[in-house]
Amino acid sequence: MARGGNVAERTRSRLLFRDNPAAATDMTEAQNLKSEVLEELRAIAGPENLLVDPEQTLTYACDGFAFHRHTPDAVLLAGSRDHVVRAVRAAVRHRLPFVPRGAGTGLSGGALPRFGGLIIGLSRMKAILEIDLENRLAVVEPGVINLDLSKSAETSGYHFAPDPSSQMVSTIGGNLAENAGGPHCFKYGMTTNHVQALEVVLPSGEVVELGSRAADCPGYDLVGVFVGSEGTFGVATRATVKLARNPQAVKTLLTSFPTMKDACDAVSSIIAGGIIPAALEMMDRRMVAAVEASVNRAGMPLDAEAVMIVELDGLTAALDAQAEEIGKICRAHNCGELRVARDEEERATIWKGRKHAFGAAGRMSRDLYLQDVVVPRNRLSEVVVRLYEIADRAGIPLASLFHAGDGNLHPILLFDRSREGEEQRVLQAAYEMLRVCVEAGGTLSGEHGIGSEKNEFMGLVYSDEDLAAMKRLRAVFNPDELCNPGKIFPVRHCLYK
Amino acid sequence: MSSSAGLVDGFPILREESPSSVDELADAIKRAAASAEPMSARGGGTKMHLGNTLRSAPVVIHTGGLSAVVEYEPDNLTVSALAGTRLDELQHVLRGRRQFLPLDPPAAAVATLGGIVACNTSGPLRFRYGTIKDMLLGVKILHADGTRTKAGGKLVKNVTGYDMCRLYAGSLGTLGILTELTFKVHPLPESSATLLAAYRSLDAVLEAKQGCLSAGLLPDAIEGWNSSAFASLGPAATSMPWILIVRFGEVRPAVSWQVARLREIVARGGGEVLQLLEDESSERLWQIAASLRETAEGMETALIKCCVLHKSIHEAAHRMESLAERLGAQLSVYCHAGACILYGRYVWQDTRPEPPELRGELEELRKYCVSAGGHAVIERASPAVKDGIDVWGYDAPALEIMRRIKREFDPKGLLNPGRFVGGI
Repeated sequence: MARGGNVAERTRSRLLFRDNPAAATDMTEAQNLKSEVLEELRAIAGPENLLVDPEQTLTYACDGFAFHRHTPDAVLLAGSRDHVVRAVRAAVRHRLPFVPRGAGTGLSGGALPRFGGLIIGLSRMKAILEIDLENRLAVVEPGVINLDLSKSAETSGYHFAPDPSSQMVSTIGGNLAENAGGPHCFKYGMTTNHVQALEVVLPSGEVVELGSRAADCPGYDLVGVFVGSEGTFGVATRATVKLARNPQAVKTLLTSFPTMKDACDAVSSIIAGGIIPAALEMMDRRMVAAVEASVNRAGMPLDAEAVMIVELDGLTAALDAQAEEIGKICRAHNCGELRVARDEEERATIWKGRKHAFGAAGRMSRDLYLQDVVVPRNRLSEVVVRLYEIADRAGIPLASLFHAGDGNLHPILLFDRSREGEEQRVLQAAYEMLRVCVEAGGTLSGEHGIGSEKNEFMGLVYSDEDLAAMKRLRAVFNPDELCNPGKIFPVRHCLYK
Repeated sequence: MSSSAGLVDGFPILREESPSSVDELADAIKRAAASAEPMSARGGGTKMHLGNTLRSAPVVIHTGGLSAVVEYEPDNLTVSALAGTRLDELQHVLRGRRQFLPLDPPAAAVATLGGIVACNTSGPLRFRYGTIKDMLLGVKILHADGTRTKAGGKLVKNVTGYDMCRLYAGSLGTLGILTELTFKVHPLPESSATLLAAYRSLDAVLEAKQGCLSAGLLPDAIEGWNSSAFASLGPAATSMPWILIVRFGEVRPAVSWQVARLREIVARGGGEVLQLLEDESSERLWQIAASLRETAEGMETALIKCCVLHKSIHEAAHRMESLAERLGAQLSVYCHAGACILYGRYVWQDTRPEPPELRGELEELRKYCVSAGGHAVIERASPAVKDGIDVWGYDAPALEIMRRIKREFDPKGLLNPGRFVGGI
């Protein structure tokens, strides 16, 4: 589908949801919720778990994607499935849009209450109900924090494989809504590869079990369809997820390259060379400088254009040969010193630097735009060059953080929205980056989701017919679009506009 | 292995279409749709027996004419091929670059990629690599009215919109006819080996499985077969009733290390190592092994797939055996011990059970699986046995969502009508 310029006009409509002047309007709306509705909502989980005071609800006006804000009318902090069921039914009865929310760390506006209404907060539902090692499964409530699950299985030698950088705070419910990734999904797959069954409160208020604890549940793969539906197919109240065996051995390598191109070519060669590392991460010079200036400094070289982390895991007997092969490939692409983490402490330091990199980027400028795009791995170097050109033309500094092994790029635009016109230039540059990636066979999002951030750009990759097929699925689960309205699809494909 | 010409699962067909391009396929669909004729897609024809009995004679649309590897990018570890491409052909191309699609369903020489995706078939390798759903990155599909859509792409990470690939995979051609598929592929392991060990009981095999996992081994496959299943594989003879078959694929030192650990586990658990097959001989074994559960010759055959949890494998196998005794059948049990899936294949050589009796027995076995938190699918049985039952045995409340999906995607109910869960 042709998409010309005039991005400014389209993004302007997106910016309407920022609440700088609109905040006051929101608050009025909040107070306009009919008292009988409020009474009903208060009765569900008790008045202490229903937030309506604008000072409290303001916290829920956005998730990790701060460009779009809209204060909800009310926030219900659910403590049980029953609370969720009653909240959804009340919302449906009163035609109130409702949005499920975990820790609010999403990066595409997935938990944004775009049209106000009710936020159903799930972070209080954080019980790990069962660890079933015999079947390598865990049963959890949606508010369980990703890392807490891995920690609780650790002594038995297992972990939950999806490891988004937010894993210290993000919830399993949010992870599965967004089909979260992370550095180790290069080898172990995304969240969708690790979910076995779900208990879901549908947007109608009915409760259903999707999938089964045993393998190969007959029928359409409703679990596969629910995961990654960005909270538009209902609220998961219980998840049966797969646990992965901790590897016998791990080897973490840190090296650097004189140019981005060398680094990208090394990535392509590693992949073509028949080795599947557990993780293959890259950062550019500016990103490394920020990490090294932060409390999470990891001793990364400051004088290289690109720093690469390669982690190998598996059987002890396999790792030495693989590490040697990786070393050979990196040297063939002009790498600098190649450091192998000596112990778990050094390994943890390297990963701490990597996982807090986005936070460290916050030191570099007042505002950040974290882009999430993905391209085929054999197109990395040409695309990366073009991303820098786009940022240069826009006059916006760029720092980069790549899950290079997956072709998943996170260019971060550093700016200051108080400066006239800068935000528009950033949005324009972010859009051009999408176009460049799509032209190279890539797509709009590798792991952050579409949400309210990129829904207007779906036409870059999908035809109206493609979107119509997806809309049929939405019509099945969420026919009146009360559940997380205004997400994923361009607004012309939505009831709420 | 394929169904007889002119019949689908014993049911007469209306006519056949053999398009040689996606355009022709779209035309064939539109023609059938215009006169409201039901349609069944057919790839290699290895799964035409799968599903409930047909309700009316379908137009059979052959996809074998759509056969080509469209785009192979070894340095992106992705490959796109038309749906009628046979799995073997694809593997041949991939092997040229020392890569492979880590999936070993039955009849790889005949089965097409479209059929494998539509039926979500898999084999022993699923223990390490998962099912086709874990490898499918993109699809192109024709819908019931002939419109074309695509989903996903050639990207290993992609959350751009709903995951339609997962919807179409395993939908048995009831939502559309697949035309092109893109998969994530893997490097071929440098070295492989298979250890065969005989045991006195299935429990001992299952203990060995848990032993492998707690010892940190990373097998490609862990299978537990009964002696009848093993006899047709035939590399080594044993009088013991259960055989453990474990496959490894890694760099050579890691394969050797694992084989040594497994030998210890076998010795500790009272097993008897029958044979160690390495590299080519190991590969050859699995090429034969993958198809065995589907290659039954007899007066009457049935294949039931029971998916349970670890603790119920023993009881499910026991019930499979009693059924065989009661009805005088020869039973081969192919158990993906790692994934907790048992295939029970029944063969009657000279006699034939009464269809209602066999039906009743299979349904009893299924009831057990359901009561144990699992499920069971009657994958193969004669139409007389399947008559009047849902072979999928799925009637959970989520079935209503599935019905709504079918109505949205195929409102006139023309695509493989009646054959899927709940008569979808």
